[in-house]
Amino acid sequence: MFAGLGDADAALLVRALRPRTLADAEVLFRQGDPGDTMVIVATGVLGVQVRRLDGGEAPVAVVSEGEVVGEMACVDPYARTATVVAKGRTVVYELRRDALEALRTVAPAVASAVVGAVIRDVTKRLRDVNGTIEAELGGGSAVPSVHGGVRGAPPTAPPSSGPEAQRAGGAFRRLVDKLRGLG
Amino acid sequence: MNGGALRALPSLGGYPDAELDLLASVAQEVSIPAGGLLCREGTTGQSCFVIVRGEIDVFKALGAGDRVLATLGPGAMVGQMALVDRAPRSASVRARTPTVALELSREVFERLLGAQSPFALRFQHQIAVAGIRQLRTALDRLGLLSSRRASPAESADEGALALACVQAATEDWDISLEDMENAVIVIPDGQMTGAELAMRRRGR
Repeated sequence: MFAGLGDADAALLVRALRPRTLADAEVLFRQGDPGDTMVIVATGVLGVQVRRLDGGEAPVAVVSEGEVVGEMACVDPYARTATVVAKGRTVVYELRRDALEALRTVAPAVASAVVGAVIRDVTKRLRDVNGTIEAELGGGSAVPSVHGGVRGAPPTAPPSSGPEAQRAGGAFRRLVDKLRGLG
Repeated sequence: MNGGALRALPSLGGYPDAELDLLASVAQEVSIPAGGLLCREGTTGQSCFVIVRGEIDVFKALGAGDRVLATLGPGAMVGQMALVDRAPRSASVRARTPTVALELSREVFERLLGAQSPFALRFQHQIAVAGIRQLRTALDRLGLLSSRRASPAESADEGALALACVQAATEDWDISLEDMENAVIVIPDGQMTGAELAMRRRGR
């Protein structure tokens, strides 16, 4: 869908994004804080970690250049389900919920492309969840395990750590390529 | 049917009159007698339904027979997933009473979205929000189902039904997990019905 965005629309999207530079170990989101912003990694890497029952932090994923985190909260604000922290100096673009709302009026094709990408990511994750359940319904005694079974995250992650702790990726790739193309 | 008939439906409360008029004009009004099917599990959906009058049962083949997962009334939307994805329907939907519904096809929805119709943009956003909430709830509930395995008292049948509820809801986003009173979830500190789980979720 992003491939179909014209340069003028892509430029409007770029104007709606806010660049931000994070120092090494700087926290972008903290688990439990209210969230309404999605973040695209321009350069560098973000680490995703969730609190363990014993109070420690367990790494569950990394978000690399060109990948997106927090996009569901941008569409539907929610408490952050994981803590996201810069691993080394990292440059990100932020899209706040109010900026996405504004795009619906000034650049509906752009807003629709962003929401469409979120839907594709969510669809993929719902399928993953569904595959786990299918295995459970058909397979007898296997314990349904969202983290261990679907995404391969360490078993230390509590099951309720939520969807944003992992990256489905993919749907936003073309958007990011497009942004890079604009320099 | 005119847009005014849709105004009273809670799920469409946020839509301006002009957009409801558009929905009423592009969607097909369908009348289903009691017992008639709106959609069948396993088939590829081409449309979604907004229930205007009547009651429907959402059911799924499970074990030897069908199990009703939820009963929904006016304002319920079923099968929105078909507008954005081509996966097979995860459950069947049957009219419990004589039912009137509006059927919105994927073809019409895509055309409106391509034309950047404000209605289609709002509907797309609503689908995204519904999907996100279903995913969050499903992951939470799968977590509960995982922890429930510690309880040997529960029958395998109840466990399968609870999983089927989650599964149907994850595919048909608009079938709220919280509507599924049949799903009994056993957690370490006791048993919860879907309704209790919904209350607990709202309370936090």
